Amino acid sequence: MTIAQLIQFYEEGRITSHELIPSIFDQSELGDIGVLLEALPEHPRKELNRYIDSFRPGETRSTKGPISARHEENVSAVKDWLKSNKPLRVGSL
Amino acid sequence: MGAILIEGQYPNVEWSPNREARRRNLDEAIEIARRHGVDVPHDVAFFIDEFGDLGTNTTARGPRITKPAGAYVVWTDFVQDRTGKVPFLLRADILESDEAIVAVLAHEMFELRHIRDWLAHGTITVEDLIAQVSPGIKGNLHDQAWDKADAMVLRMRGQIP
Repeated sequence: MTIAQLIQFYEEGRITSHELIPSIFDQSELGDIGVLLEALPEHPRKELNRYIDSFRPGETRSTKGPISARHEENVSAVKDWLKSNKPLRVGSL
Repeated sequence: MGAILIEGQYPNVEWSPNREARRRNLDEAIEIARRHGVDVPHDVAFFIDEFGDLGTNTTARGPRITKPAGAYVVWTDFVQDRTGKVPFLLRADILESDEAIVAVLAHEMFELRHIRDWLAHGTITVEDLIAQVSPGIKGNLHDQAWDKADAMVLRMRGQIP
Protein backbone atom coordinates (compact mmCIF):
# COMPACT_ATOMS: atom_id res chain seq x y z
CA MET A 1 0.00 0.00 0.00
CA THR A 2 1.40 3.40 -0.96
CA ILE A 3 0.58 6.81 0.49
CA ALA A 4 -1.02 7.76 -2.83
CA GLN A 5 -3.28 4.69 -2.57
CA LEU A 6 -4.21 5.56 1.01
CA ILE A 7 -5.19 9.09 -0.01
CA GLN A 8 -7.17 7.63 -2.90
CA PHE A 9 -8.99 5.33 -0.44
CA TYR A 10 -9.84 8.36 1.67
CA GLU A 11 -11.15 10.21 -1.36
CA GLU A 12 -13.29 7.20 -2.28
CA GLY A 13 -14.77 7.08 1.23
CA ARG A 14 -13.14 3.74 2.05
CA ILE A 15 -11.24 5.03 5.06
CA THR A 16 -11.73 7.93 7.44
CA SER A 17 -9.25 10.76 7.86
CA HIS A 18 -8.83 9.48 11.44
CA GLU A 19 -7.56 6.18 9.99
CA LEU A 20 -5.69 7.71 7.06
CA ILE A 21 -3.17 9.65 9.13
CA PRO A 22 -1.88 6.76 11.32
CA SER A 23 -1.86 4.56 8.21
CA ILE A 24 0.46 7.05 6.51
CA PHE A 25 2.77 7.01 9.51
CA ASP A 26 2.83 3.20 9.34
CA GLN A 27 4.52 3.41 5.93
CA SER A 28 8.16 2.39 5.74
CA GLU A 29 9.05 5.50 3.73
CA LEU A 30 7.28 8.86 3.80
CA GLY A 31 9.24 10.35 0.92
CA ASP A 32 9.34 14.14 0.59
CA ILE A 33 7.35 15.44 3.56
CA GLY A 34 6.54 18.72 1.86
CA VAL A 35 5.05 16.87 -1.10
CA LEU A 36 3.14 14.56 1.25
CA LEU A 37 1.58 17.46 3.14
CA GLU A 38 0.61 19.22 -0.06
CA ALA A 39 -1.07 16.04 -1.28
CA LEU A 40 -3.30 15.77 1.77
CA PRO A 41 -6.86 17.08 1.40
CA GLU A 42 -8.05 19.66 3.92
CA HIS A 43 -9.76 17.42 6.46
CA PRO A 44 -6.92 14.87 6.74
CA ARG A 45 -4.43 17.75 6.95
CA LYS A 46 -6.24 19.07 10.02
CA GLU A 47 -6.37 15.53 11.38
CA LEU A 48 -2.61 15.21 10.86
CA ASN A 49 -2.01 18.38 12.88
CA ARG A 50 -4.24 17.09 15.69
CA TYR A 51 -2.55 13.69 15.59
CA ILE A 52 0.96 15.11 15.79
CA ASP A 53 0.04 17.55 18.55
CA SER A 54 -1.40 14.81 20.76
CA PHE A 55 1.06 12.03 19.85
CA ARG A 56 3.07 10.66 22.76
CA PRO A 57 5.73 8.07 21.87
CA GLY A 58 5.11 4.79 23.66
CA GLU A 59 1.70 5.98 24.84
CA THR A 60 -0.43 5.73 21.74
CA ARG A 61 -3.02 2.95 21.46
CA SER A 62 -4.70 1.56 18.36
CA THR A 63 -7.36 -0.98 17.51
CA LYS A 64 -4.91 -2.07 14.81
CA GLY A 65 -2.37 -3.20 17.39
CA PRO A 66 0.96 -1.93 18.69
CA ILE A 67 2.45 1.24 17.28
CA SER A 68 5.72 0.49 15.48
CA ALA A 69 9.03 2.24 16.00
CA ARG A 70 8.87 3.30 12.35
CA HIS A 71 5.50 4.97 13.00
CA GLU A 72 6.99 6.96 15.88
CA GLU A 73 10.00 7.95 13.77
CA ASN A 74 7.72 9.14 10.98
CA VAL A 75 5.62 11.25 13.36
CA SER A 76 8.80 12.77 14.73
CA ALA A 77 10.10 13.48 11.21
CA VAL A 78 6.92 15.30 10.20
CA LYS A 79 6.85 17.21 13.47
CA ASP A 80 10.44 18.34 12.90
CA TRP A 81 9.68 19.26 9.31
CA LEU A 82 6.73 21.39 10.38
CA LYS A 83 8.87 23.18 12.96
CA SER A 84 11.52 24.07 10.42
CA ASN A 85 9.27 24.94 7.50
CA LYS A 86 6.64 27.58 7.01
CA PRO A 87 3.29 25.94 7.71
CA LEU A 88 1.09 25.44 4.72
CA ARG A 89 -2.22 27.19 4.97
CA VAL A 90 -5.11 24.77 4.79
CA GLY A 91 -7.17 25.65 1.77
CA SER A 92 -4.22 26.85 -0.27
CA LEU A 93 -3.08 23.37 -1.30
CA MET B 1 -15.84 -21.84 1.46
CA GLY B 2 -15.86 -24.00 4.57
CA ALA B 3 -15.23 -22.60 7.99
CA ILE B 4 -13.79 -19.13 8.16
CA LEU B 5 -11.47 -18.86 11.10
CA ILE B 6 -11.29 -15.77 13.23
CA GLU B 7 -8.10 -15.34 15.16
CA GLY B 8 -8.72 -15.78 18.88
CA GLN B 9 -12.45 -16.31 18.63
CA TYR B 10 -14.60 -18.22 16.23
CA PRO B 11 -18.15 -18.27 15.04
CA ASN B 12 -19.44 -21.67 16.14
CA VAL B 13 -21.63 -22.13 13.09
CA GLU B 14 -19.89 -23.20 9.90
CA TRP B 15 -21.07 -21.20 6.91
CA SER B 16 -22.25 -23.02 3.79
CA PRO B 17 -21.10 -21.77 0.40
CA ASN B 18 -23.72 -20.68 -2.12
CA ARG B 19 -24.86 -23.13 -4.78
CA GLU B 20 -22.66 -23.06 -7.86
CA ALA B 21 -20.35 -20.71 -5.97
CA ARG B 22 -22.70 -17.84 -6.71
CA ARG B 23 -21.00 -14.61 -5.72
CA ARG B 24 -23.07 -11.65 -4.53
CA ASN B 25 -22.29 -8.02 -5.08
CA LEU B 26 -22.31 -5.56 -2.19
CA ASP B 27 -25.85 -4.29 -2.83
CA GLU B 28 -27.13 -7.88 -2.88
CA ALA B 29 -25.21 -8.65 0.30
CA ILE B 30 -26.80 -5.77 2.18
CA GLU B 31 -30.25 -6.75 0.91
CA ILE B 32 -29.68 -10.39 1.98
CA ALA B 33 -28.50 -9.35 5.42
CA ARG B 34 -31.50 -7.06 5.94
CA ARG B 35 -33.92 -9.73 4.68
CA HIS B 36 -32.58 -12.06 7.35
CA GLY B 37 -32.97 -9.56 10.14
CA VAL B 38 -29.63 -7.76 10.28
CA ASP B 39 -30.14 -4.10 11.11
CA VAL B 40 -27.87 -2.40 8.57
CA PRO B 41 -28.20 1.35 9.14
CA HIS B 42 -28.12 3.74 6.21
CA ASP B 43 -25.05 5.57 7.48
CA VAL B 44 -22.64 2.69 6.84
CA ALA B 45 -20.79 1.85 3.63
CA PHE B 46 -19.14 -1.43 2.63
CA PHE B 47 -16.08 -1.92 0.48
CA ILE B 48 -14.37 -5.06 -0.78
CA ASP B 49 -10.85 -5.68 0.49
CA GLU B 50 -9.19 -5.80 -2.91
CA PHE B 51 -5.69 -5.33 -1.54
CA GLY B 52 -5.57 -8.05 1.13
CA ASP B 53 -5.55 -5.61 4.03
CA LEU B 54 -7.63 -7.96 6.18
CA GLY B 55 -5.43 -11.03 5.91
CA THR B 56 -6.69 -14.59 6.15
CA ASN B 57 -8.02 -14.52 9.72
CA THR B 58 -10.24 -11.47 9.55
CA THR B 59 -13.52 -11.35 7.67
CA ALA B 60 -14.32 -7.64 7.99
CA ARG B 61 -13.51 -4.57 9.98
CA GLY B 62 -14.69 -1.05 10.64
CA PRO B 63 -12.54 2.06 10.97
CA ARG B 64 -9.34 1.73 12.96
CA ILE B 65 -9.06 4.05 15.93
CA THR B 66 -5.70 5.37 17.13
CA LYS B 67 -5.41 7.71 20.13
CA PRO B 68 -3.10 8.69 22.96
CA ALA B 69 -3.52 6.43 25.99
CA GLY B 70 -6.49 7.54 28.06
CA ALA B 71 -8.04 9.63 25.27
CA TYR B 72 -11.75 9.43 24.70
CA VAL B 73 -13.14 7.97 21.50
CA VAL B 74 -15.73 10.11 19.73
CA TRP B 75 -18.30 9.14 17.13
CA THR B 76 -16.73 11.35 14.48
CA ASP B 77 -13.62 9.16 14.65
CA PHE B 78 -15.69 6.48 12.91
CA VAL B 79 -17.30 8.68 10.27
CA GLN B 80 -15.85 9.46 6.84
CA ASP B 81 -16.13 13.22 6.52
CA ARG B 82 -16.77 13.21 2.75
CA THR B 83 -19.56 10.63 2.81
CA GLY B 84 -20.93 10.98 6.33
CA LYS B 85 -20.83 7.18 6.56
CA VAL B 86 -18.96 4.63 8.63
CA PRO B 87 -16.84 2.57 6.20
CA PHE B 88 -16.44 -1.20 6.58
CA LEU B 89 -14.02 -3.41 4.71
CA LEU B 90 -15.23 -6.91 3.76
CA ARG B 91 -13.12 -9.87 2.69
CA ALA B 92 -14.13 -10.81 -0.85
CA ASP B 93 -14.85 -14.49 -0.21
CA ILE B 94 -17.60 -13.58 2.24
CA LEU B 95 -19.72 -12.75 -0.79
CA GLU B 96 -19.64 -16.41 -1.88
CA SER B 97 -21.85 -17.47 1.04
CA ASP B 98 -25.17 -15.93 2.03
CA GLU B 99 -24.68 -17.37 5.51
CA ALA B 100 -21.29 -15.70 5.77
CA ILE B 101 -22.82 -12.43 4.60
CA VAL B 102 -25.49 -12.59 7.29
CA ALA B 103 -23.03 -13.63 9.99
CA VAL B 104 -20.33 -11.10 9.19
CA LEU B 105 -22.67 -8.17 8.72
CA ALA B 106 -24.59 -9.16 11.88
CA HIS B 107 -21.29 -9.22 13.76
CA GLU B 108 -20.09 -5.85 12.51
CA MET B 109 -23.46 -4.13 12.93
CA PHE B 110 -23.84 -5.54 16.45
CA GLU B 111 -20.50 -4.03 17.44
CA LEU B 112 -21.27 -0.73 15.74
CA ARG B 113 -24.70 -0.40 17.35
CA HIS B 114 -23.25 -0.88 20.82
CA ILE B 115 -20.36 1.51 20.25
CA ARG B 116 -22.81 4.10 18.93
CA ASP B 117 -25.01 3.66 22.01
CA TRP B 118 -22.04 3.94 24.38
CA LEU B 119 -20.85 7.13 22.73
CA ALA B 120 -24.35 8.61 22.68
CA HIS B 121 -24.87 8.03 26.39
CA GLY B 122 -21.39 8.25 27.86
CA THR B 123 -17.70 8.07 27.15
CA ILE B 124 -15.18 5.34 26.43
CA THR B 125 -11.42 5.55 26.25
CA VAL B 126 -9.38 4.06 23.46
CA GLU B 127 -8.25 1.31 25.86
CA ASP B 128 -11.90 0.46 26.63
CA LEU B 129 -12.66 0.27 22.94
CA ILE B 130 -9.68 -1.97 22.21
CA ALA B 131 -10.69 -4.30 25.06
CA GLN B 132 -14.21 -4.55 23.66
CA VAL B 133 -13.44 -5.15 19.99
CA SER B 134 -10.30 -7.28 20.23
CA PRO B 135 -10.47 -11.04 19.70
CA GLY B 136 -9.49 -13.40 22.50
CA ILE B 137 -11.31 -11.68 25.38
CA LYS B 138 -14.18 -13.84 26.59
CA GLY B 139 -17.50 -12.05 26.95
CA ASN B 140 -16.39 -8.78 25.34
CA LEU B 141 -18.36 -7.06 22.59
CA HIS B 142 -16.47 -8.90 19.85
CA ASP B 143 -17.30 -12.25 21.51
CA GLN B 144 -20.97 -11.34 21.98
CA ALA B 145 -21.12 -10.24 18.35
CA TRP B 146 -20.15 -13.75 17.17
CA ASP B 147 -22.85 -15.23 19.40
CA LYS B 148 -25.30 -12.88 17.72
CA ALA B 149 -23.97 -13.83 14.29
CA ASP B 150 -24.33 -17.55 15.04
CA ALA B 151 -27.92 -17.02 16.15
CA MET B 152 -28.74 -15.10 12.98
CA VAL B 153 -27.41 -17.92 10.78
CA LEU B 154 -29.34 -20.57 12.73
CA ARG B 155 -32.49 -18.48 12.42
CA MET B 156 -31.81 -18.12 8.69
CA ARG B 157 -31.73 -21.92 8.47
CA GLY B 158 -34.95 -22.20 10.46
CA GLN B 159 -33.16 -24.07 13.23
CA ILE B 160 -34.26 -21.57 15.89
CA PRO B 161 -37.41 -19.43 15.92
